[in-house]
Amino acid sequence: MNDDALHSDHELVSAYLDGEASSDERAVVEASPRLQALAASFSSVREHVADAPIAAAEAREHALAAALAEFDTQTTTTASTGTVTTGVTTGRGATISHFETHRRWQWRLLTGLAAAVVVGIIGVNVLDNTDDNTASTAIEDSRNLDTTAQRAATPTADKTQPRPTVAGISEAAEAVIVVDTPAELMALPTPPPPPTPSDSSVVGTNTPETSTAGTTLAGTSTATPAASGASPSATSGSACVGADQVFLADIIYIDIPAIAVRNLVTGTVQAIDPATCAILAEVTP
Amino acid sequence: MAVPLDDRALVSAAQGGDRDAVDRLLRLHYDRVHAVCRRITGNETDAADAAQEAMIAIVRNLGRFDGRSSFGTWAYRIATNASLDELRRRRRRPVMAPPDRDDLPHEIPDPDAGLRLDAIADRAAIEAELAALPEEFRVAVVLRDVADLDYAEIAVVLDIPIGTVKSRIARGRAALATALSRPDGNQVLPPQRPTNAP
Repeated sequence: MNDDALHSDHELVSAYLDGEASSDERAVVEASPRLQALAASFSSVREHVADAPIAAAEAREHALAAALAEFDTQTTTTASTGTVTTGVTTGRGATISHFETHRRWQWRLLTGLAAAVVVGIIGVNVLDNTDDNTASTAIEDSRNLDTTAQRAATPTADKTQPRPTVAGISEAAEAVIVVDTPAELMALPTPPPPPTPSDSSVVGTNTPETSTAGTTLAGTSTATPAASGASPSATSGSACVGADQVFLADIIYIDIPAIAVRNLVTGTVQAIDPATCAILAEVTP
Repeated sequence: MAVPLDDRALVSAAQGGDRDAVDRLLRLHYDRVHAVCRRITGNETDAADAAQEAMIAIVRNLGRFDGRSSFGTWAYRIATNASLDELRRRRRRPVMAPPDRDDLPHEIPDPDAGLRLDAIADRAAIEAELAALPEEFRVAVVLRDVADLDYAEIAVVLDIPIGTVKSRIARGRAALATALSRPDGNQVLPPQRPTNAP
């Protein structure tokens, strides 16, 4: 029997077992001992496949709690209130409350704004003192953030090197935004258009060509991906950003490194695995 | 408050914001969703993650469910996509091999122990053989045998013709039957190219 005929028998018997065969096909199978034997074999396979291991009770409850937390988040967002106290189980099992989540987000926002002010001040300091050691001292005094700035500030530094930037400082911090909920994902700010060269003198901004990842400090976005003309970092999936989408930030979404993008047409925000471009989460306005 | 039992009523209540209905609906379908994820991903860790993602996605998209298909079909489609995303997101972990029969004691005092060990070995073997199947065949077989969807529903879920569904299920089962009938029962199958031909 050739392969085609064999496959035809397999399809016939498979459809017979699944109740998808016609009456004529059923008659053919039931009249053939060979096909009946094949049906018995396939039936055994079917039973084995169907006998999947049962979910652990703990995993079930975690999943259901996470889903209900998502429901609560949506309900809360719709109602524009922030006082939900339902327990939330995150993707990896850490249990927090929505109230805490909202408080944490507010705390991050405030911390981020404060950090932005600090970084801006440092940036001005660096830009004004590239010819002496003041920049190095200032930066070291400010949490030793920027080795690039230190190199630029040393007497032996190559004066043709690009001037240190706020983006460079924040790169050293290597913080990414931790996003645990769809609401936090949706709240990521959309970058404005990259600044023109004349804008580069504005305190706390960078020239686009020296910018890389968005400025993030203390795990909180300070909205400078916008100001820095942000793009996915070197390890991020710039190929994952579609034509209508804009990169928002490198994030950690429920413990998974990801990039956040917003569709400028629909407003939908997605968390995307930069390695595979798989969509981890999608939030629509 | 009393929660209605059938999917249609539960979905309607859930879409109206009834949290208890959401809870009930998810509990009704979790085990089957998990089973689909378990069979597609091939391991418990990924299955648990995929099932959780599926549950969240179901809630997130519940408002868009229009009832044209059954809720189960829609949910298993989400579970399938979550499982495939999970597979792509993570490198596949090694699948547990069945116990080496040479290591088993020759005399087993418990008369049922042999049967139990056989069952464990069978389960591990089917898991290994499923994992070795091409993804297209595996998903079709799982949606039929685990999710209990008919060919038309599977065609909708996978967005392929019914004839292709029929072919993939047959090829998958044939490969599994061949592999499981071998004496060792869990050798990796040679790769087979999926086909769109019915």
